[in-house]
Amino acid sequence: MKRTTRQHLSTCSCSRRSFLRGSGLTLTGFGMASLFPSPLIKQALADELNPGNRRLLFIFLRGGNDGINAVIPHGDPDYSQITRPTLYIPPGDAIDLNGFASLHPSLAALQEAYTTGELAVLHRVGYPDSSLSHFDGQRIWENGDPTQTQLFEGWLYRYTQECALSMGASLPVLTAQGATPLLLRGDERFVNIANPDNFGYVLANPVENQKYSDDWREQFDRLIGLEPYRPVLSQTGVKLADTLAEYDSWDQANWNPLDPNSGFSLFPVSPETNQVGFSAVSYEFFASLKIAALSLLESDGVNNNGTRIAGTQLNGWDLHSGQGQTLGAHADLLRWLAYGMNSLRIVLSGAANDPRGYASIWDDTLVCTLSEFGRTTRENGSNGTDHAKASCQFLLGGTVNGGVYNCDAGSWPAGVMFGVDGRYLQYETDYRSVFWEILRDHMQAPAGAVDSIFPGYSSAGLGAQELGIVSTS
Amino acid sequence: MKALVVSALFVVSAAFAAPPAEVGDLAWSDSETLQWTPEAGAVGYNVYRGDLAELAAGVPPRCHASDLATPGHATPAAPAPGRAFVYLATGESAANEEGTPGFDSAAAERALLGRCDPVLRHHVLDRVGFGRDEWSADRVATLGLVGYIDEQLDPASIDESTNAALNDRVALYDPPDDVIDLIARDVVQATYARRQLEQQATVFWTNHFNTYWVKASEIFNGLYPQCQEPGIPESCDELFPTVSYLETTGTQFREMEAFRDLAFNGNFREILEVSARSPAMILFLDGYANVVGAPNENYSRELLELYALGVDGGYTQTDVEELARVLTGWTICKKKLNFEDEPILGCIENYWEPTPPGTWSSYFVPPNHDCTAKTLFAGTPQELVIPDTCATPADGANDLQLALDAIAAHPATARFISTKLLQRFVTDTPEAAMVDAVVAEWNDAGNPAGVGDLREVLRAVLTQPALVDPDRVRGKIKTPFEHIVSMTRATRGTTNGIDFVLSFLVNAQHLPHYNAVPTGYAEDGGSWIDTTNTLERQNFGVYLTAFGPADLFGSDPMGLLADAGISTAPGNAPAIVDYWSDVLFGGALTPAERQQAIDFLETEIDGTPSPYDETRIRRTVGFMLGFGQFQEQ
Repeated sequence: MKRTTRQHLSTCSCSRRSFLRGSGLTLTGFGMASLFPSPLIKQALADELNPGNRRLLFIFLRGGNDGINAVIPHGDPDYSQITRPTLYIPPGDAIDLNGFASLHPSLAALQEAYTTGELAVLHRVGYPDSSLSHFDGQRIWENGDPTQTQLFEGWLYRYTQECALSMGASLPVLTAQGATPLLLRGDERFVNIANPDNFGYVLANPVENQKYSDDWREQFDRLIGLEPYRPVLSQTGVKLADTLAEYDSWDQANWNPLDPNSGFSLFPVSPETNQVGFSAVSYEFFASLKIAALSLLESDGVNNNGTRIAGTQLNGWDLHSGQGQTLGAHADLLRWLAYGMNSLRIVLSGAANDPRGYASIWDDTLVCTLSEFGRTTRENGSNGTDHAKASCQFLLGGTVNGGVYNCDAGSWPAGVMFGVDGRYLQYETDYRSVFWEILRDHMQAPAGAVDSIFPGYSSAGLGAQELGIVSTS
Repeated sequence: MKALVVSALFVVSAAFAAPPAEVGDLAWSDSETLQWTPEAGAVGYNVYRGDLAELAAGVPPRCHASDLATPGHATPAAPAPGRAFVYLATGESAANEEGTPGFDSAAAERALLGRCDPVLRHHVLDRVGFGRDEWSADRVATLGLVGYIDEQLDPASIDESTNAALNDRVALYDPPDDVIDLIARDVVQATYARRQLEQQATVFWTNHFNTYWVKASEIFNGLYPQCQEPGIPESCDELFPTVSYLETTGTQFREMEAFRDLAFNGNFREILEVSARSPAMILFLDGYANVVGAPNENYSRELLELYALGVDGGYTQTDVEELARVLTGWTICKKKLNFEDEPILGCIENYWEPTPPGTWSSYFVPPNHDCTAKTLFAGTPQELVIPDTCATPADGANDLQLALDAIAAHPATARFISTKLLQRFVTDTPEAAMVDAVVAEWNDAGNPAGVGDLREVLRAVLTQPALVDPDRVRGKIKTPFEHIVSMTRATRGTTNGIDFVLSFLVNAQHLPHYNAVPTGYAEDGGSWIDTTNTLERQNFGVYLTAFGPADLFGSDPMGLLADAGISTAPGNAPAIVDYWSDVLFGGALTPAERQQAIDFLETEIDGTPSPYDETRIRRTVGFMLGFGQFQEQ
């Protein structure tokens, strides 16, 4: 039956949107369920469009990461104690990458992945006329169109729709953060888990919880109407009911994979699992990252029911004051980020000390960071930095072409640190080029989907900025 | 699909009785006007409209126009392509009794998705305040929609002195000495205040000028000696963390109470200055660190972007930098009483000593101020040149006044704030004409508080016809805070603002005074719909109905039913469900939803039918509180 569906679909353009157009299903006012293809068709579509079963995990560094302090251009004489009196980190304290760029010492946990070629360090990523507003900036990075600050639909959402990824599994996309990020917002809502330890109904009797869940599912499924939020409300409630049992089966509370070398918990989420000794403020991030990782692991090669896109965020990067140097607020955030990314590398490659013995999915996984902007290249008067333009990104994974991009003697001309208005790092690569490379070369999106996902990509010639950061071999 | 045009499906037989009989002969008199035959005894009419697609899915016609004085209503005869509507009308007597919508071919009365009057009253209570409770339901029934809104716009006219449920609880947290007290106050005021709009407006302005308790507390912790350190006298135990928490909380509390007052007795220029000079804001966005030669743009940018002009308000990066220079030199100190508004004088040097008494206030330090000239909005009609004050450094404090004058008077500010208020109270996507109307009121210098009169601006928002347009009912999503308060109000709930509430607000990502992002919480519904939010809201309803009125946290559905004269003896499930349909949804449930609630009430967990008891009634109310449309407002 699945095969038949697949053959039938081979004649269509394999875009869910065009599929819907072809069926004439354009009525509004009906429940969402009737708008979407049946599960079997969904499954077939997803198989067509993500044949390698690839996975993507994103970490949004909200607040604006100081790229100059994370990936330090030591080869540029403008990076000095004059421009950054209290922030400056001498080369001897940092981790040299290529004789020009260094990692902040707090990123030491990423060093091994850099050495093995699994880490790409991208500098000067941004977009034309970068917004200095957090809120416009985040929206632009998430909606994928710098010309439409009021577009409340994510580029990653459009990818799921164009490539039917959302159709392949009951839990294709999962985020673990306060609320569903704009990156994944659209007509449809995916699962978001803000409180991993409390994602379930509260009655003592599981049978009774199931009754509430079943009855509410029925109520939400029938919920139609002209009210503007009704379709998404209906779909969210159904999605919730359909996810609870699956999530429960992961038993995340009792999953505690360890670093095989240090014996430390890879995800410090409590005093008991915090052998590494981070501040308790970091627990929320690690609890979220743990769910994101677990959701991908539960989606192994056999179980086609799991998650292909997972994501979370790390807040607190808006360091106008008290940013710190080798120690301090920024150093802490970088340390958590690096530890977390390295934990992903260990656990997703099957290398963790973990009785569950999940198989490696590392060759099919890419982890990337993003942040709405970088910060002023000159320190401000409060031992901090203000909003600026281009910043850095980290890509980690089995398909990544490791190395340093846009931060070496050849590509970093003099004066670039103050390239815009004398205080902002000039962007070299458009963020859309980075993400489209990830979607096309890692997530195997068809080339024709590019302008639907990133409007204007082709006409703006953004392909010319692509860096070759994902291996296509 | 072809466009269907359906009109005047229901033709009516006349009958004479009070309330008015079925209204008949609906027809379009022209392409824009629906008319019908006047009905004896009807002093007003309602129009209901059913969407054909909805009807097919079991959703009956819903209120489309209410309280029409004449038998006619302007609505296009030709719907948008792909849509088809069915219309019917009812008459209303002078005693507000509504006539029948008529009967179907099986002689059953036609179903409606609620009647216009209760649906709209419910809607107004959701939008103007935090949902229906017994007092507000009575009040809106007495005063009508317009009268109720009018009264709410004059909070001083509403007597709270006899409101023991409110006063006893507020007294628990007076003065608030920790952030939990602040949050608890918010909850109990929203839950029990009759001055519902005053509380909504206070929440709005506090969220608009958001500050983060934690950041200020970290700074106050540093200002007050850490008692654990060696050499600190024992008496210090009283200072840390108690005093630093008290002072942190005090800065947010005083700011909030000033917003509460100005929301109905002041103008935007005044409320802007309260925020700009509030220690809570000066600490939150690094104003204290913004000094000459080393500016910090944090507050400067957000003042323009978030608090006044809006991100598209036409300011430039140069304006951000110039404004940052204007703001240099402002920090905080603890001032002697009656010196709070003095820019420079009155700082208490040994602020940690109990005497003299004082209040943490804004404090201008002339040597830290950039005294050279600045220009805001250069090259625009709003251009403001702030002169050099280097010869008289203390005069630099006046830079702030000049800048706030220009920012408050900027036309982008009136539009931005008016739009945000409309989003809060009327629709997430206000049309330009609505914004124009509110801006016109903003610009009326003849209002009691002058240009930007906040009460009159709010009145303009709340008197937009769109607020009571039946087609827009349930067009917004309740915030998590509104959601649980409305649950508590509807069920005669008991709350001290802390038990169960605090953990809900944490889990639902909506803890007041505790938001690290200067935007405050989102006003649009799309930001509040996700799986976690739905789950947490449903769980709260389950908790609320699991506990009784004698508990610190609980509800009293049995008492409400008893007072409404609804028997809770077995065999009365439809009446019990209908009562809760009225209380929770203004009666707007579909027949299938109503039946689902009846079934829930009449069966055990495993689906076996059995007579209900109090526990089952409570659980059924909890189940109905978890319906999707209870998230809407």
